[in-house]
Amino acid sequence: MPSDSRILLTLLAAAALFPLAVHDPYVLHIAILVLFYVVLASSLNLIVGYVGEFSLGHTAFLGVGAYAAALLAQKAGWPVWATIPAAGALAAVAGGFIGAITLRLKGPYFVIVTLSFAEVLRLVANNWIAVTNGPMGLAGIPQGFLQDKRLFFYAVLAVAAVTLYLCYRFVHSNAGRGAVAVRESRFVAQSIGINPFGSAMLAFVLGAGLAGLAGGFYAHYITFVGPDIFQFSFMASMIIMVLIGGKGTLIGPIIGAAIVTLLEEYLRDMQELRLTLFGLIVMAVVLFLPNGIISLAPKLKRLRPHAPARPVSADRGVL
Amino acid sequence: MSQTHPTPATPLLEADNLTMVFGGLIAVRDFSFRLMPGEIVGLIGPNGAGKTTCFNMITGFCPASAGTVRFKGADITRRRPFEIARLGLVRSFQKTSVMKKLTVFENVRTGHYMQGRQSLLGTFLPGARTRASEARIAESTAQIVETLGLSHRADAPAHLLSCGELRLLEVAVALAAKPEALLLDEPAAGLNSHEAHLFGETLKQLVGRAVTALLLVEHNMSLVMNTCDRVVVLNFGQKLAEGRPEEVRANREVQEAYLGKAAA
Repeated sequence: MPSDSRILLTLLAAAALFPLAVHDPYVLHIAILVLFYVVLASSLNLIVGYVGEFSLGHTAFLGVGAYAAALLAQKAGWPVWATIPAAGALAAVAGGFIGAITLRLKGPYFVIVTLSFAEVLRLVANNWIAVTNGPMGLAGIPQGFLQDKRLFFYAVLAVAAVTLYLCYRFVHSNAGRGAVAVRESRFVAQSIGINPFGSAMLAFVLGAGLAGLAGGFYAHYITFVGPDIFQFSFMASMIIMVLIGGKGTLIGPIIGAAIVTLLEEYLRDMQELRLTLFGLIVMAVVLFLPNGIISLAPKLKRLRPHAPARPVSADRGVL
Repeated sequence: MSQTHPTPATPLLEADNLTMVFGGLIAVRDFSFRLMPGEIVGLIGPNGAGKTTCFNMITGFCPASAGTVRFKGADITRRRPFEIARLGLVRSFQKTSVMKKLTVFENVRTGHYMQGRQSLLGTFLPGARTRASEARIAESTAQIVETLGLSHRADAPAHLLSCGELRLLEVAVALAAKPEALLLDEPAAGLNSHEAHLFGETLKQLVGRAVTALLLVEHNMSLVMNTCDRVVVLNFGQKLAEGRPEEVRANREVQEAYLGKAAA
């Protein structure tokens, strides 16, 4: 059994018990944010870590999901349990559309075009006043049965569990191996029969759909969605999480999401300076720990003198 | 496996009048050849003769300017590389190409991609069928790793392998795709003569068992002479000679192409 699944299950079980021990609404709020960012960072990681291209437009899917959930709840009166999955589905459709265009590009071109899609969507949200209410945004989004912070916590935990399950299945599937092959060597991948575009599309659409789920949750939790959701600040947080935690791993984005969310709260007093600090942290990570904090794990294992010898096949399931 | 062979008279792979033009340069002109089931054919020639270009045209990485390629009777001239691979024509690359961050085992398992493909449902909600497929792949991986003598390195990341081991791993990844025709581009580059000899023996054992036929671009002459049933010589983009290894070795034009003309 790959060790990834055990770590993920342990983390989810621990998270499920968390609200039983903690009642402080502020702490619960932070925990909800952490889980929200776990979903977002894991979804971005599918693109950055498994397609191997750097997307700066991931907020497009977060925003599509958030607006979709808000509109479905407000104008069509859908219940929360239906709007959040629908938000994911709509964002996945948007992912299919944007991916079909952008995944034909490489490197900086991909970065720029994904960024411009997010920007275009922001302009649409700002100007299509009949639907999106323009810069005023959509306020007072109904929360349905989620009347309590604890229920919100379990809702986002469910979204995170679905996200991690789908990511785990993808990474440990034949399709996931194909995506890694394309990332590692496009030529080898094609020579063993992998369609690089199709493989990238699967990861991209999955990542978009999961970001849409996060957006749908966000809309109901905050009860407000405005064009700001497409702005760069969410994107910056996601990237920092994926890079600090370790791209191309399942656990890395979770670690990154926890660290960055807690740091953001802790450093809230510093306001603008906080972003400067994050910049420095990212530079340090890229320079000294290019594979993220998760890359320290094997080194720590080696330092422990009495650690049991790793069985030969223990890591086979882990890409 | 012999029942999957076409009748002995039909070639597995046919190239007819392949021509490749890069701008004003004709890299390969009117190149034709046949690869029959059960054969190991060597494609040799001095540097820049157009051997790798021929490979690229056959496998779709660089579509031919003119001419046709037929595999098992079907025209594959304009097919994309991964489509050609899916038909059973798999190649390796001159510059060692493996997935460096993955272990030997993971590399070979990835090579099984075509056999492991699942529906979306099978990927995200794996049932008995997906599990059985994954188990078969793991078994086949272990077997291929064993066949090429890499078992002791199965869990080593590819970037730690020696040059000789990397060459074997490349062949292992290509074999994992279960090709009918395997095209190897300079598989013995960087091997010493002893390693090259062992490598040649491994290749001979593959034909008829793991693959139907083998086409080899190679500079190591003793490997070519010892393993190939037939040798095709390319010089300045044109076929210079073709025949059994000893015939080709005795051919005056071939000697001149490699060594230059004798002083008059």
